[in-house]
Amino acid sequence: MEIKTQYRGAVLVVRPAGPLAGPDADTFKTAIQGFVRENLGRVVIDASALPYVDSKGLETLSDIAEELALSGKGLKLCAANETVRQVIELTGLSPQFEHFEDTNSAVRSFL
Amino acid sequence: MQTDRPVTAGPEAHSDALGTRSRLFAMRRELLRGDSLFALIIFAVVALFLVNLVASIWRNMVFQKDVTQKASVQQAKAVGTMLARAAESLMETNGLSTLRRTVAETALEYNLRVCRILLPNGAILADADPAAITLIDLPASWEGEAPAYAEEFARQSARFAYPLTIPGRGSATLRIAAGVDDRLDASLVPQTSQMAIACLALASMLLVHRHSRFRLKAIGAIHEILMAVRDEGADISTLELDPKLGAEAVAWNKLLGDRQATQVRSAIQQVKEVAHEKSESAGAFGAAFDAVPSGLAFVNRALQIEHVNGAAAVFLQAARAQLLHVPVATAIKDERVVAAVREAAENPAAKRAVIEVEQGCTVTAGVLRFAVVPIRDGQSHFALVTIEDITQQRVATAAMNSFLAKAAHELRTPLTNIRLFVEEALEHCEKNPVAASRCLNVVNDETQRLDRTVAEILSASQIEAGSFELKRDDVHLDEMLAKLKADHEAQAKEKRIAYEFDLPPKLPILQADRDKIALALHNLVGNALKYTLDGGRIVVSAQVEKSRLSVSVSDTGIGISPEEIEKVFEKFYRSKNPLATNVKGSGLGLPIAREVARLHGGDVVAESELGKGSTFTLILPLVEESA
Repeated sequence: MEIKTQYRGAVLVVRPAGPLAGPDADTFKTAIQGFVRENLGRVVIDASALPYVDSKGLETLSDIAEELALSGKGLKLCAANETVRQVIELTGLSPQFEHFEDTNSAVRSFL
Repeated sequence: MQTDRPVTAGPEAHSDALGTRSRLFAMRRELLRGDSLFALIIFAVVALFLVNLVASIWRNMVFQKDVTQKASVQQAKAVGTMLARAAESLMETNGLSTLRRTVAETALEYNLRVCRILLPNGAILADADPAAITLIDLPASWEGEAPAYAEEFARQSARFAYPLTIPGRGSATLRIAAGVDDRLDASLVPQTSQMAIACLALASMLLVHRHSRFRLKAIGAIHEILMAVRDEGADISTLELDPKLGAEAVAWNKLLGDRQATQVRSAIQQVKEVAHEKSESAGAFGAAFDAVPSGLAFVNRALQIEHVNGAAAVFLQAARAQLLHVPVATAIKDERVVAAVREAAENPAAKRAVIEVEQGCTVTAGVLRFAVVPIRDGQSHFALVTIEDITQQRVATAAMNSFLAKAAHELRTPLTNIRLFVEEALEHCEKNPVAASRCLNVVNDETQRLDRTVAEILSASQIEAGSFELKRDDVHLDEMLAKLKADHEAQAKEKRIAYEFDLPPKLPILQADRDKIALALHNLVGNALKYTLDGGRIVVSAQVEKSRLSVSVSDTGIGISPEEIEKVFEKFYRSKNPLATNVKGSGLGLPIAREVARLHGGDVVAESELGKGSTFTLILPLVEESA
């Protein structure tokens, strides 16, 4: 999995490319935790390049969301495809995440 | 509860009455519960009576035995005396055979163990046992003195020696030994037995009475307690009975114990429930504390952090445990904030202080706003520190300021041109119509440029505000591309750029926002014309694939470096390429084109090679999607 980052204002947009599954999920989790720590939680996950998410990936997203919730923040996902959104909906995890149609909306939510 | 308290009686009188009643009740219960003095006296009297009865029986038996023994001795003694007189007489008259028969019969009659007559030389003249006789005939006379009268008592026998004096013959001795009868009188046995039976019966009755008294005492005590509970209520600790009262008391105590245990369990359960509720309340408070997106920290007068939430821990970049109960100066490095906290913690009347702290050298490194207010809680007071991350607001404000400055610049340039050329046209309108016409053409161009700039700024503002909405309609792409070609042909011709369209014979009709799609395409072609040098080439092509339409604008322009390929989609971004610095532009064209495409469910992607040219492709889905 390739993880690209880009600042939009003071918000770090993290764009993982490739399936969020298996061992990549741990790598992703570690990376996100570092980004969250460095940027005081101003992080958006651009899921436009995530083709699918397996159970491990869902668990990772859920863990990150729970960690952020302890500091009054939410995990902001944007541009997730239909497959990823359906998986999140079906597993009942959608209340844990804030989903935005595009990066701009997600970044704007920090205002 | 009903009371008999007189109406005029005060609380103290009522209290005294209750106290006396309670004491009497306790005394009564005490008498019923344990071994009372009365019961002890009764028991002692009966025991004394029994002992006395037994002693009387024993004394009677001893007396009877003594009497019997004495009677036996007296009888033996009398028999001996009588036999001695008879022997003297018979020996004097030489009636030896009669003497011997008399001795034998007397011995047999009175059950004498020994009965014999001895001469002083030891010869046995007569004996109860004829075989023991050693002297057959009675001598005419003999020598020697017989011993004096003697008597000897052993355990169960009495021995007597009577001196016999036979005139003309000599002296002799009568010895008898009689068994002393110590057997009780037969008439005493039934009497003694009856007394013994009576004693046993009395003892049994005493035991039965004692046992039943215990049982009845337990039941009576329980009854009293139940009545007391009914009338007054009672402390459960005073209701226990002496276990010695028997199984009923033990069972009663067990019931009380069970009830106490139930009460204790109930109390524990209630305590647990209260504790649980408090815990839940504390948990809910803690959860709410953590759910606040702003960082919160309570600092006490000792300038130590008492409470801190998760957001504050994130903002202060430390684990929550590391922040608790540490000096505030350790957690917050900015001296202004620490000073404000000190002021608020020490002075409850301190004013609210707001301090903005930049974390690093750049704004994007983080800007935190610390608001410090004093909080009074009874006698104590705290300082509440609220921490907000205003970095994005700062960046947005900076971007807005930059946007306004650039927008003002973009507007000022064409407006300046318009003003200058209008003045020139006015000056030459009568004398030099050709120059005036040229000026008006420039004014026309600048007006169009101004119009586009204003439209772009408006679009960018709408995008920024989130109010960039689509008005979908049927879009005939072939017509739109034809107009696009016509609109830019003159500009391409002016720069001697080959402006070509490579389109399929038939293009689909889109469900899209016509004006915004047109705006996006104009921006792409306009950018290509701007950054393609004279003599270059621009090709607009369209491909219809399975579910999407791609419109590509390829040019042979200056190209974009890989580092800048994504940045060109940021608002107001201007390329660092020296060849691009002189190109006029708002820096909004590509961001708007991409935003338009994405709102339609598509995208704008760029491929470029520095110095060789670029290709920007507008991708739109053919299936209608919700924006």
